[in-house]
Amino acid sequence: MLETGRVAQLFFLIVICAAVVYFVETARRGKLPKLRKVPGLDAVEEAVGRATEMARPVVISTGIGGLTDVTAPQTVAGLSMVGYVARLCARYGAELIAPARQPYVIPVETEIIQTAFNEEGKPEEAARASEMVHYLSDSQFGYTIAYLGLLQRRKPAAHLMIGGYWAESLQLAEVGFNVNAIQIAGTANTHQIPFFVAACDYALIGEEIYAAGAYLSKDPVQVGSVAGQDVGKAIALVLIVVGILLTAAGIPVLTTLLRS
Amino acid sequence: MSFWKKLEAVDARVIYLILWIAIGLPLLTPLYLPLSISPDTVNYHKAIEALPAGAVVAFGMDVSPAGYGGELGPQARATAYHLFTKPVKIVFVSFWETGAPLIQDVWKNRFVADAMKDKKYGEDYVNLHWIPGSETGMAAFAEDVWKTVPADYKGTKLADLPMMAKIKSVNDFALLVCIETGTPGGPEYLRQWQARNRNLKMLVGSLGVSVPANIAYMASGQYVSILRGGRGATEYQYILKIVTPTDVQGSDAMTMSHMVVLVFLLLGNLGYLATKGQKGGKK
Amino acid sequence: MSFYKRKELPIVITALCALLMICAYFFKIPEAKSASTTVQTWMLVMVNFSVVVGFVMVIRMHKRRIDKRQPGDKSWLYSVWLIVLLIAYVLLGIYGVESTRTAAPTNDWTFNWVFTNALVALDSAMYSLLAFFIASASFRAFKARTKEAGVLLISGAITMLYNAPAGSAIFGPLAPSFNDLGDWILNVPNMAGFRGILIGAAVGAISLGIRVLTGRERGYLGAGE
Repeated sequence: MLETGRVAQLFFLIVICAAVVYFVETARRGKLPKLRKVPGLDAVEEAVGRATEMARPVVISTGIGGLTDVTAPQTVAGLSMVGYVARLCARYGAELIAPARQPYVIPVETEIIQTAFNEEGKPEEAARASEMVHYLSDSQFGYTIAYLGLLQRRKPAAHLMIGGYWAESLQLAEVGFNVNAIQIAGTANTHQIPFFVAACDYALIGEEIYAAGAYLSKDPVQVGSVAGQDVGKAIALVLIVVGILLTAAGIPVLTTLLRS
Repeated sequence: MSFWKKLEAVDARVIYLILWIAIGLPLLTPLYLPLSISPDTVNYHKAIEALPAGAVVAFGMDVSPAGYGGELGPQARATAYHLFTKPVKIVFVSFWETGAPLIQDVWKNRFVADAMKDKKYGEDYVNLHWIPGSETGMAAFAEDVWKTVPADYKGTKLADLPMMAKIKSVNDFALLVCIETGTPGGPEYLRQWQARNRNLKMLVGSLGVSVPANIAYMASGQYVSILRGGRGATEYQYILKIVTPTDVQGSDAMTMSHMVVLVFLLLGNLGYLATKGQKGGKK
Repeated sequence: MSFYKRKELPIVITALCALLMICAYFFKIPEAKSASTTVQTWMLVMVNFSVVVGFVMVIRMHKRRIDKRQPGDKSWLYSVWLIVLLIAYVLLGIYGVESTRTAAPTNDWTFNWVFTNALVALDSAMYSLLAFFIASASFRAFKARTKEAGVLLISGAITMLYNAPAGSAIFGPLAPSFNDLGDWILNVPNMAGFRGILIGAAVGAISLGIRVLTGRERGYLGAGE
């Protein structure tokens, strides 16, 4: 009935899904798990405040990934951040610029910004949400060069990059530094994390970007799923430790089980 | 202002100029700096050498123009040359729309073209061009090649390509060579191809920046080996004895850029330490 | 609310497709496999149409810039040039398909020539900027302000030397353990860190998947409940 070699995968998928569902439902009933402090996320409000004081815009991007592929979780995390930052910009009166690469992300992002401005009682700005989202190019480096030009011309005071980034990450971060923007960046693409850590004021590493939306919005669904994810990581940790001990003892039972 | 303070405050454009000169010098004339061959490149070469006659190899040309122009082009050409010298069947495919035109560019390389002379299109190699859909496309291709790709890059139906008669799914491939820029790339092939065919061996030609991440897959045995960026390409060309002065220049330029960045690191830290003392230990 | 604006239907479609893919992957059900391959093929067709969306958006955006041009601001000319090039390259592609009577415009030398000599060259040039940015970032950021930064600096320097094409050849003979140290840095601490991040990212993707499957995640449909 089951495909060979996929039993263990299915088992762990079910366990992790069950954990996510359990914690989401628990959170929806009011029992929110506690999230640890993430310095980069605490700095977001400070960054938007700085932009308001300096009368310079806030630039936020969700990366170059899409919503239909493996990078979708990162883009969704970025969109959560866009919603939060849009609300702050509406509240403080800062200008928001959101450069975008994938055409089908734009309507989603526009609606998120529009809703945020409406919720803060700024319907006139909400009506101009489509002008805040700038479609630059579908090509990676066409997007990058247009983005760099935008940073150079508009000189934002705050530059946020949360999502899937590839080779353009360091270019964006360096130019953001050169225009004296406070930079908060995060990606789950392992090969780009070091660049953000080196070049930005605050860096979110790996799954901290998934926790960003939950941390800032305190939405029960998002907070609950972060807790469920931690169960998955705990399982991985236990398997690693047990696996090391068993392999060192020359007992391949765990390897055999996981390959079954 | 003291020398060290001036150094700390140096304009970035001065750094760019020095780096530009350092990289430009070997591009004018090859310096023939020494090069050691890494074990990964040797293993990559051995994996292709060990292919039995008649083995079916998938050549995933999943590159962007940027990656191809720098590090991945030499990797792709060297790998294609090596494969064409073996009695294997090659299926060229790309899940990047920008990778598909570059398959034909690889064939134009003089070494590759020479190795292709005795090969017959449709019997020894085919080009299935671009398959859209990224990872979904990979999954569809892995399940059913004929349903996903009805024709090759010239519109010839798969039924009219003799070698495709026995290639119906990922289970019919012995080796996948993935020259990857990013996503979709190696990890996506692992999830969609190797998960379906556990016997599928994978070789990956990657950018230098992706090497630290790819090492994890190599250590777990999911990749047989990798080519480490431009350096790996030059090493591979040395092993295959197809290295040209242009390739050497690229390798030398890479070495020079690494050394210059190291000098900047050293100077930056010396400047920091010197001015830190003057500022009374300010962080 | 209008039927087309309601979000229940897209959520149901998403959930059904996801369940189908999961069943086809984990269970030996030929009907599910066949259905999943069909759905994947539909997806490939739809992805191709999204290219049209991008085409229309680019033209709309740049037309807006041209319409809103101000006196003295010449940047709208770049928008005109972009639209001209966009249409020209599409026409060149169509010509390539028609003239060679093949499926791909890349079989026509003019299309290929423009691709190789314009797009590849420009993209490579943009990518090469990274070298300069890495240099300035290294100079600025890799300072041993703290112990952790010091460790980062030393391991980064050793790895850079090790990865330079001539690095191992020059420094290997001078310091016999140099190559071993470079290998160790890549294969032990680096790999441990990357594996941890990979596992976390994978679990995050599973979490997003289950939220999408159960309709709890609606971010991809737009804002608000």
